[in-house]
Parts: sequence; C-alpha cells; structure tokens
Amino acid sequence: MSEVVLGVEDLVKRFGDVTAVDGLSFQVREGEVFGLLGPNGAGKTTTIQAICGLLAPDAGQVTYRGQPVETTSADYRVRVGLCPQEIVLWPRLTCLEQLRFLGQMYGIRGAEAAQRGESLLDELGLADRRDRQARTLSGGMQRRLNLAMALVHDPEIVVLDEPEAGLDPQSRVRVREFVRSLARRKTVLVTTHNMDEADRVADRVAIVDHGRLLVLDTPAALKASTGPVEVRDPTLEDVFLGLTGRRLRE
Amino acid sequence: MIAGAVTLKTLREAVREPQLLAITLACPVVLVLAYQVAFGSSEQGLSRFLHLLVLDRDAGVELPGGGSWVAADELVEALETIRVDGKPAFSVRRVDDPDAAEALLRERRATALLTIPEGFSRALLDARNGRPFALPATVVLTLDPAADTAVLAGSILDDLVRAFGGGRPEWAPLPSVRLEALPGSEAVSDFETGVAGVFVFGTLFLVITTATVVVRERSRGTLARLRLSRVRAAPLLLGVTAAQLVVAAVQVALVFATAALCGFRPAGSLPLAAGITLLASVGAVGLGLAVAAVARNDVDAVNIGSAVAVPVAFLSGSLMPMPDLPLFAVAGITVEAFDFLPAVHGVDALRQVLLLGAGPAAIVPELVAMTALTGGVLALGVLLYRGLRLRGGVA
Repeated sequence: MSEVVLGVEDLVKRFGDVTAVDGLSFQVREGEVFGLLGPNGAGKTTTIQAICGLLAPDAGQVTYRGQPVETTSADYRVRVGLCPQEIVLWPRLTCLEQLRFLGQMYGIRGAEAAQRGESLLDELGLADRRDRQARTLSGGMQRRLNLAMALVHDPEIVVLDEPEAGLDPQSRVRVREFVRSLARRKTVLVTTHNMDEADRVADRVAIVDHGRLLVLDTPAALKASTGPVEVRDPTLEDVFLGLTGRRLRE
Repeated sequence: MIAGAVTLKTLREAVREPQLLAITLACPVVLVLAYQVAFGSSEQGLSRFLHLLVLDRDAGVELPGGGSWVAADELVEALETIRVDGKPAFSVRRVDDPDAAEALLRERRATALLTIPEGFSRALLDARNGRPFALPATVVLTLDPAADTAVLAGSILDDLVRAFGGGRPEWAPLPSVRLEALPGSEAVSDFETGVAGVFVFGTLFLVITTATVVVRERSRGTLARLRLSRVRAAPLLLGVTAAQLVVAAVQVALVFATAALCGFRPAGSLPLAAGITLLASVGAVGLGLAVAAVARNDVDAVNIGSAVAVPVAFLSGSLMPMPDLPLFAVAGITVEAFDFLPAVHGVDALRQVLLLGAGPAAIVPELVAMTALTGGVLALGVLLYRGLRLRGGVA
C-alpha cells in the first residue's frame, strides 16, 4: 500500500455558531486521486482551505507524511497546489504571463516558470491562447487555466475544488482526463458533488456531510456495500443520496 | 526577484487598464491646465477677481466760470486706473439697473456695487469751496461680506474714495506700498505661485489608485493565490509600491511638462523638485495601502481613498493657504497642527525650490520632516495591510 502523504486528523472549524467541519479525519495516499464528496455546505471547501493553510483550524491537525505540519509554513505550502472552485486569475495578464508570474512567486526563475507554463497550456489545450489576456477567454478556457495555475510550481499534492463546475462537456472530458493523468505523477485531492465525476476519476471516495465523515472507500466498494438494497446496480449517486438524504440543500 | 516580478505584473495591469491609469496621469495634468486657465494671465492682476459695478446717479454741476464738472466721471476713471503691484486693481463696469446689479452680486459674478449719489459733484464742490452743502457726498458700497474678495475690494475702495473726497478732483495716487519680490521670484506669475501645490495635489490621486489596485488582489481572490506561494508581505508590498512609483514618475514628468508648456519656468532645480514630488508620491502610496487595509472592494477603495485624499489635499495647503494652528514648540521650532501631513512639507519645499530657486541645503528641515513622515505613513500602510489582510498566510 502506498505511503500516506496527507493526513487530516480530527479537524474542526467553526464560523460563529456554525460548525463547518466537525472532527473530520481521513488520509490521502501517494499517487491516488482522492474524492471528497458532499452536498453543498458539507464542509468540503472549508476542509481544503484548512489543508492549504488559508484557514486556521479550531482543533485537529494536518499531517504531511506522518508529521504534523504548520499549514502556513512556506515549505509546506509549496508542496500543495490549489485549484479553487472560483476562477481566480489576473484578468489583464495573458495566460503565459500569469503562469510565469505565479511560478516566480513560488521562487521559480522566470524562464523556467514560463517553460512550465507553456507545457501546462499545451497539456490543457490552451497553447494557442498563451498570449491572450485571461479576461478574453471563454469560461471553459478560464477554468482550464485556473487548473494550470495550481500546477505551475510542480506541487506534490494537487487540491482541486469542484474542477468540473461550469464546464461544457468537451472541457469536462479534457479536465477529467487531465486529472486522471495527474494520478501517475501527483497525489490528487478533489472535491465535488458530481457523483459521475467522482466515480470516473477517484480511486477512493470520502462522503462527508455536516462536516463529518460518513463513509470512505473505493467507488466500487461503496456501491457494493452501502447502496440501497432496493436499487439494482446502484450508482455512486444512489449511495450518496442514501447517506445524505434527498432534501434540497441551500 | 519577487518584488520585481510584482512590479512588472502591476505595471502590465495598469497599462492594460487605461481608465484607472488615466485617473493618476490625466487628472493632475487637467488640474494644471485648469490652473493655467484660471491664473495664467499675470497682466490682469487683481482685476481678474475684483469686478466692480458702478451705478452713477451724479448729474454733475455747472461751474461758476462756465462749463461743468462731473465728479463721478473722475472717480470712475480713478477706479479704472488704480493699480496694485503694477496691475489693475478693478475691472469696472457701469450699470443702470440697481436690481440687476444686486443680482450680479448675489450670484458672485461681481464683487461690489458702488452707488454714486445724484448730488455727488455739487456736494464735493461745495465742500471744497467751504460752503454748506445740502447733500452729503456719500457713495454707497454694496457687497456680500461672505464673498472672499469683498473685504479686499472694500478696503481698497474705502481708501480711494476718502482720498478722492479730500479735495483733489484730479486723481492722485494714494500713498502706496512698493512691493518687492524675494530674490528669484521677481517674474513669478499667479499661475507659477500656485502650480507647485498642484504638483503635490496630483500625487494624492495615488491614494485612490493604489488602494484600488491592492484591494482588487483580494476581491478577485488572487491574494489568496499569492498567500499560498512563497511570497512574503515585504516583497509583495514593495513590488506594488515600486509599480506605483513608476506611475508617479510618469505623472511627475507629464505634469511638469504640461506646466512648462503653460509657461512655468522653475527658478530652482527641476530634478530636485521632481524628487520632492516623488517623495510625496511615496506618502500617497502609503496612504493607499492603509486605505486598502480597511476597504473591502473597489467601491470602498475609491470612497475611503477620496475621504482621505481630499482632506489631505485641503489641509496640506496645496490649493490654498491654511491658517497657523500652533500646537507646541520643540527646540524653538513651532509645530503646527498640519505639520504632521507629509504633503505640507512637500508643498513648502516645492515652492521654495520652484519659486525661490532654493537648493537642497535651504530645504533641509522640510526634507527631513517630509522623509520622516512619509516613511511613517508608508510603514503604517504596510503594517496595517499586513496585519489586517495578510495575517495568517504571508509571513
């Protein structure tokens, strides 16, 4: 079994009276694609923000290769690449300029950062847009560029928050293939409430709700063991709805 | 390397967003041009501001030896020819309708209305000849005391009319004060006197643009991206500051060039003046960072930035002189209320250099005060921004 790269142990995060993450624990192994599933408001984004050091947890800890880490330390942060749910780009920089700039912020020399940027743009089908300002790109292209930004510093752990949100089918397939291709090179933590996405890309899936872990296993094992008995060949969505209920959220 | 990359990136964004850049670059240029239009002509003197209306009801008087004498005509001629500092004191316009004249006063399109009574010539002639006169030779000066030019006009007119009534029908100049300019400032026009303040005023636009640029990093989420990287607060803010100073340098060049085209000829060193203006820009950038620390979005940045920049511009004396408000004295130097604004010392230093030809040695106190206060403002801005916006992420 692969080594555990990232550990989340009894993580708690509160916002006033609301407990967004309530004693959540899981481990992510080296080279796997780990899916963090949950309905809106389940605490997925809060969890990854705590993992990335953007939020300080109220209790619990994050570990890297078994050692507790100070998530705000620069040494840890450079090992993690975050692709946020929102498109976070400098609208008036070209695709290549922002990849180069962000790479420089991670301490990479400009020429090397530009080279990595070119490679990422090529991998994500944006090579012919390298000199276009981000604000002129379509939504799907901006999402792909958003994903490239998480990778420009060649992080060991890639955290993707709802990477397929708002994508057209073609872009969705491209991003899905790209995420799968990362698995051979990176450890990937992906949050989603798209069961199809999780089923197709994740090696293991954790379903969370109200900030707590409900189940954690491979998609196949979850479908086999947790699916409702009245459904023949249950999908991951059946498992998800069986665990989290059918009540509308938000 | 990081600060340089931040500078380059910020400048790229600035160049590609002309609207925001125009606020910083074009507004001060427009101000200089407006100032030139308002104060550029140095030949008109006070008459540019003191507009006198004359309602002449004097019928004149027949002289015993034949002919007639109209004292009002001579008084009006005296009004038209009186000069202050070698330039006309009043622009004089005769009116017939008192109601229309009053309306002009209320609208501040005229400074004062001088009403010459019907028996003015007769009364003066009788007085001169030692005869009792039926009507007093009283002219009425109607003005709006709240108008800033009214007191000046009233003072000049009071002296003039008294002298005129003193028995000399022909106009003789009043006992006068000869004005002598400080060495180096002999040929300084009203425009040149005031434009140095406009230079400093122009730098205050950087408060708004700096705040806007920095706030946007947060509002669009890119600050969070930067917090995840290795970047520390110091190079990040240094890069932003350097980019704003590049913009400021362009602004200074444009403003000085515009002023030169408008006829401004500095008496002192232009590089020294440019350096002082750039130092004032650093203070404005510091204020911009402080504003960015409390602003939540672009609108906040503009509103709070304006709320800071406008009072600073007003209190710095860049546009109009401020009254003395001494607070305390240190080593014989009186510290006044507005001395805590770096822009105050910037305006003083610039005026000394540009108008009086002062060199660096002559403005050491201003430079020391300005540098210390600017450093303080910049440090405050950095600390506020770092404490309120970068805490927890960037070391």
